[in-house]
Amino acid sequence: MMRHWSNALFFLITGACTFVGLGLLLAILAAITFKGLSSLSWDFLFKPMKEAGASGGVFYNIIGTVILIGTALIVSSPLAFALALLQQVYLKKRSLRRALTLFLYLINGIPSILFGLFGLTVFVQFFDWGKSWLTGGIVLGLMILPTMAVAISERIHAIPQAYFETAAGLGLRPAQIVWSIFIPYSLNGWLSGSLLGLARAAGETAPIMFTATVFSGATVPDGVQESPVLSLPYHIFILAQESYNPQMIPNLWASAFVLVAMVMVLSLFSLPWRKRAFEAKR
Amino acid sequence: MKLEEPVTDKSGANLTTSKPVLEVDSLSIFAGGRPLLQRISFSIAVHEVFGIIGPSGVGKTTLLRTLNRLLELDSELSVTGDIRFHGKSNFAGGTDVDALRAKIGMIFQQPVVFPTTVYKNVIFGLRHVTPLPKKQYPEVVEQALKEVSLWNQVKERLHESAEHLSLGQQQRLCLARTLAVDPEVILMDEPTSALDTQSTQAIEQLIYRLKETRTIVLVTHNLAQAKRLTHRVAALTAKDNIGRLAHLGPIHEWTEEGA
Repeated sequence: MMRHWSNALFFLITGACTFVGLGLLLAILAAITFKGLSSLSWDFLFKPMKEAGASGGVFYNIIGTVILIGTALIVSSPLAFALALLQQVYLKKRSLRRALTLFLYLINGIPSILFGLFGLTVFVQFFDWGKSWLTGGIVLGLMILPTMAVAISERIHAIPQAYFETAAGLGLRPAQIVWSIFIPYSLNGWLSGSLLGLARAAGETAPIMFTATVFSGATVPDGVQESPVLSLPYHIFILAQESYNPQMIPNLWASAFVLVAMVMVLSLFSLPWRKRAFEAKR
Repeated sequence: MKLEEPVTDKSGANLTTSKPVLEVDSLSIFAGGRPLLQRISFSIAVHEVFGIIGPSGVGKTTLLRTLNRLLELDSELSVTGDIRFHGKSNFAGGTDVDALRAKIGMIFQQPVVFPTTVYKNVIFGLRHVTPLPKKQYPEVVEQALKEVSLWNQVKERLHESAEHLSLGQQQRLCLARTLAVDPEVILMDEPTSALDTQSTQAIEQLIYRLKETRTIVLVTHNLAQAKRLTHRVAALTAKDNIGRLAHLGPIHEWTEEGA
C-alpha cells in the first residue's frame, strides 16, 4: 500500500513540476506571440528604425544579428571540428579525453558577460578595432564553441568503429580517414550543434553590447575597425529600458517576437538532425 | 625460413619452393602486460590458403589483425616477436603501415558497407590509395565486381544504396572493394559466419578462385570449411587463458591427432 502511495506521490510531483515548467515557458511564448504579432507588419521587418525605436522597423537589426551569428558560425566551425577530432581521434589517453571534455564543459559554464569582457579587452582595446561586427562574431563563436564541439564529438563517437577499421584496413592514411569518414559522417552533429549554439548566440546581449553592437546609426558594415552593427537583442534591451514610454511598447514586443521566431526556426531545424544523430548511435 | 609442410596447388606444383609471403616469428601479443597469445610461428606461401582455427576467444582474430598491424588501432595491445612480409619486418623503423595495409587487405566478420552507393563503396579505397586516374575507375569497378561474381546482380544499380543489398552481396561487395586496391594478401576474419548457406557457398567459391591470384589467410571456426578451403592451418588452443599454437600443417593431420 505504502509503495502504491509513494509511486502516486512521485508521479504527482513530477507531473506538477512539468506543468509549472512548461506552463511558464508557454506563457512567455504566448505573451510574446500575442503582443508581438499584433504590432508586426512587413514594414516593421523591412524598414529601418526611426525615432529611437518608437517607430519604423528592425531591418538593420535583423541584418546585424544575421551577420553576428553567421560570423560566429564561421569562427567556431573549424575550431569545433578540430576539438572534436582531437578528443575522439587523436587523443589516445582516456585521461586526456576526459580533461578535454571537462574543459569544454567549463567553457560552456562561463557567464556570457565574461566573453564580452574578453572581447572588449583583446579586440576592442588591445587590437584597437573599436566596436566591430567581427569582434562580436568571434566572441559569440567562442561562446558557442563547446556546444558545437560536444555535438560533433558525440556524432564522431557514434560513427561505427567498423568504418574506421575498414578504411584503415584498405590502407587509408589517418588524414584520409578523417576526411573521408569522420568529417562527412559527423556533419549531422555539426549542423545540430551549430543551430543550437546559434539559437543561443542570437539571443545574447551581454557579449556584444560593448564589443559589437550599437542602438542606432549603423547599417551594413564596410570594414572591420569601428564597424558596429545593430542587433535584435540589444535593441530589445534598450527598448525595455525605455518601456516607461508607451510609444516604445508595440515595437518592443514585435522585436521580441522576431527574435524568438529566429531562435525557434534555428532550433526547429536542428531537431531532426539531432534525432538522426541519436538514431545512428543506437 | 622453410614451410613446415609441403603445399601444392591444384596442378600439384609445390608452393613452398617459393619464398614465403608472410612469416610470423615467435609472435606474442599482450593486453596491458597480460599475454593473450604466446610464441606463435608459421610461414605462409604465395597463393596459399592458410587457415587459423581454434575455439572462440583463443585469439584467432587478434592474430589475424596483427598480420597487417591493424591491431595497433587498439592502443592497449602490444606485440613482441616479428612478422615479415616478403622478408622485410613489418615492425622495422620507417615501415609505411598504411601502404602495408593496402598490400595486406582485410575482410571482416560482418560486412561493412558505407551508407553510400555500390559504386562509391567499391572505389572507396581505390581513390585514396592508388594513383589511378578517375576515368579508369568504372573499368576497375566492373573488374572487381566481376571478380566477386556480383557484376550481373548490381550493374543496373551501381548508383543505388549498397545498404539495400543482401548480407551475402554486401560481403562480396566488401571483397570487391578490397580487390580494387589490388592487395597481395587478403585476411579474412570468419567471412561467412554472418551469412546463410547459399551466400557461404558463393564466398567459398570466391576464395577457391581467388587463391589462383592471391594469398589468403582465413580465420574460421568451421572445420568443414577449413577442410574444404585451406592448404594448411595454424590450430590455436588456450592453456592458462593464453593462446598457443597446437598444430601447424594440413588440417586432416590435426583432426586425426584428435586435438
